Amino acid sequence: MPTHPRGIPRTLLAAALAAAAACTGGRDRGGPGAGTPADSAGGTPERGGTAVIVELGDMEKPMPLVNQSAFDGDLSDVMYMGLTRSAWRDGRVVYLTSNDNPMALAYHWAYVGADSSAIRYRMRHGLRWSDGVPITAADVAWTYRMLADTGVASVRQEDVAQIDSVVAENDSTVTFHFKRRYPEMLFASSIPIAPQHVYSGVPPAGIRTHASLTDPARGLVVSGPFKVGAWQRGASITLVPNPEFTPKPYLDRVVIRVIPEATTRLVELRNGTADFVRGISFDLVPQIRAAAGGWRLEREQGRFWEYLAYNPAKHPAFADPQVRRALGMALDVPSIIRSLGMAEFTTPAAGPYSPIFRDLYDPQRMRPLPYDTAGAKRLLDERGWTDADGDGVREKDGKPLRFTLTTNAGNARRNDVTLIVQQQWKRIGVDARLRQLETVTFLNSLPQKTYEAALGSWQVALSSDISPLFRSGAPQNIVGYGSPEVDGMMDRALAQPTAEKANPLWRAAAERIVQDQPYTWLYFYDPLTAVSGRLRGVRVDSYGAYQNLWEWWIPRGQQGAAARTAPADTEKGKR
Amino acid sequence: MVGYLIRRILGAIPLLLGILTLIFFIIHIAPGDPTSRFINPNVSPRVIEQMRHNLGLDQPLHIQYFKWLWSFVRGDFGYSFGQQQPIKDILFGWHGVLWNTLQLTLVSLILIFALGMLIGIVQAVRQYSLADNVLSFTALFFYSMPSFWFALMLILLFSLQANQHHWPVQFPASGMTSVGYEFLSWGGKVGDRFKHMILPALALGIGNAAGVARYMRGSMLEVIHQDFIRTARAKGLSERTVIFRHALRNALIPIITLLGLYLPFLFSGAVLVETIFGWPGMGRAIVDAILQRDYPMVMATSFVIAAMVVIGNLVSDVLYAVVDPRIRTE
Repeated sequence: MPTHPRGIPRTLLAAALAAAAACTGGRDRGGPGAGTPADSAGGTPERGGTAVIVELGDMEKPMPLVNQSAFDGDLSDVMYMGLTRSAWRDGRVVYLTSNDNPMALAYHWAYVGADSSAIRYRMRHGLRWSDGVPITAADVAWTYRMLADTGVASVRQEDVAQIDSVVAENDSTVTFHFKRRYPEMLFASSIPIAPQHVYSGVPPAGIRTHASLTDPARGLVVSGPFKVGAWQRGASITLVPNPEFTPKPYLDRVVIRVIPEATTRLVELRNGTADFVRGISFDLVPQIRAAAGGWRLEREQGRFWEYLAYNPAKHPAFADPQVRRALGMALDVPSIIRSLGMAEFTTPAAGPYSPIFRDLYDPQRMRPLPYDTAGAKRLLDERGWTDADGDGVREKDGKPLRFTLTTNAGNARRNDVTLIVQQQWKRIGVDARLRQLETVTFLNSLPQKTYEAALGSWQVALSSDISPLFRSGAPQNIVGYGSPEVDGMMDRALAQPTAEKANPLWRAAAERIVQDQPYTWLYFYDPLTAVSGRLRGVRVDSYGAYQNLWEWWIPRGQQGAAARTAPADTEKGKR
Repeated sequence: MVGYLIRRILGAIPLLLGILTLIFFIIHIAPGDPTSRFINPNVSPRVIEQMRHNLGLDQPLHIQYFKWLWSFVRGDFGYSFGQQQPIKDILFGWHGVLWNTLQLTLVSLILIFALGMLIGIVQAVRQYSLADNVLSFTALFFYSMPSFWFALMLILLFSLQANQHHWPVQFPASGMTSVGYEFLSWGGKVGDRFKHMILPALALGIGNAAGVARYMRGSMLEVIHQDFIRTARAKGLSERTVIFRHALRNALIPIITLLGLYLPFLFSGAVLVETIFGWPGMGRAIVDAILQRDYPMVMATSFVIAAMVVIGNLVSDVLYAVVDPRIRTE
């Protein structure tokens, strides 16, 4: 089951764009998979002030049922509570109750039923939506009915496919009955809850166009620490505290400004007119470190992997695992990383599991391919790909080892990587012609398998399930990989009741896949966010950047820093 | 004149429909559709099919076309597939992207013509002088400069450097208003908006002003060498009267043609400038719509630009009549 323990799956488009805006972290995280405390700038939190966030794009539908973009998912995480609150701790997703996190509706949960295929949640009493209406178990049951409804067409629909029913036993008790016991039952029942009383009057297909989403500043009813106070389309979103949420956020306001251009974002950062700047590309890191204002770089560690994909349907050489292995061995990935200044923010990749996974990443059994040009040449010779006519390009049965390597336009890093890859392949007699396509056209060419070879990236889902990418015939299996043995292993893994039993099977499947090298795994990389010295209490990790907005704070003496642009704003803050 | 305008507007309707029909089919031929951005291992293909069904994208293209046409002729632009909001709310109204762009382009237009005409007149009157040569060089320098590069230079100089070195004059790098705008006084709000508009308006306008200056110089030179100007001077009129009352009015006709052309041109030029300055206008809306394959939004924004071409030409024709009485009588 494809899952994603976030408010919304980041789209591949977002992945492509994020690739243009790859990021770094300036602080030592204590190694892969380590949990991350909120920043350690110190001091006692103080109330007041306005934090200015800079994002690349505007919100679209920031409501759990109809989230569309990655940023919608981020905002949903800020504005809506779920039964439990997901977080990333020590290389695993954990599900926190209200005892550990105020964003959780439930204070207790327990597996119930003879085969433990149900979970009963006990919800806190006295919780209210931002319009004062109580939050009840009926909201939970209704939300899950809507998530499964085809009229709503939620991107989370697949995440709830294993839920048989959600029963509100009373106002504060709700039980999830699953079709079977499986490892991600907690994840499936942790999706943020929407207010039934606001949307139940419209048919499911009408929720997406509900008036509250057209005018979120007036209509959006939320449960989390912040609500939308004002929205200037395409320019800014102002979040203000939700008076019904406890604890009260430290900040008076959060203003999210939309600035698509990277250079302009950097200028805002250096001018001190922003506090939290998303989408920092690796090449900007030295400038940010040199900027005044005590900027630090926070990373969402290991959340994307960059790959070279081979389409066997378009070139016969790609049908041979040994040829794919030879292509990978011809690439000096560590030198690519070093030469593009990415060493601090990337890890050479050996397989589909990111180093952030404590239970799935196995550096002993899966290692990056060795850089071995002689070995690559030998492999190609053995498979019959030789340069008989002396033109510098190998051929077999009259077919040259020549193909087009495609990537999306407008991504400087990928452009650089394709150029290096082309040169390194040339040394072993492989002729790659480079082509850049408009992003949507490129993204479409992958599942439609109209490309020959492609450089792209996938977001790392915080889940063990890799079957959407590698199962025979799966729509997102863009490399046309098919192995009955691997399919069987993945089926058995999916049928396991617990992660402890499933993980060895996932690791074995991954190891088998890596032997076949359907992709050349290049590296895992970290999206970066720059955070100003005055902004405290921020937690950014592999789970995301907005997970504890109510805990962000600005020392009182520095709350006037934004006064350069908004003197009256600071006065209001003091009032 | 009114009858003429009505005839022109009616004549533009089939032209607009033709343009929009062409755009409809071209944008649908482009690979991908509005659901392409959900291509992701975490989103089931079944959900994507449902989305396509809900948006009507699973219907034959000609059905989609006639549905769009029927809505359009009734004045309904429909819903944006990307933003899932009524397009009229996104485009029009006080907070719509069209008004945001119009503010920018109108200020740019004033800048273009005020500055361009002034420079052109000075150059023509002082032909081959040092001032003429310096202004020609400067005008060509700015005319040759791509607007996106000029925009970045303006930001780096008048925002970043000005801020770092505490210059007395500093401008914001992006946005239409400052953080805390809503707490400013009425006068403060006007000043804040003006401050935000200066750099993008300059980026959009300077290159075009240089172009207008070249046209103006040529047109003025042609006029001031004509006999009626010599006659005016022989009558003893002051040089100011000769230039501004007699020569300028006659030299304006080719410049007015430029006005009609620049209005839609500025809209397209705003695409890059708005992206760089984070200005929430039509230009960015168009780019986002195309990238997301947001068909109804592409159609609506294309209509607005096509309508701008028609309006620009109409404005030119009306202004011809204002400056040239012969056209009025015809």
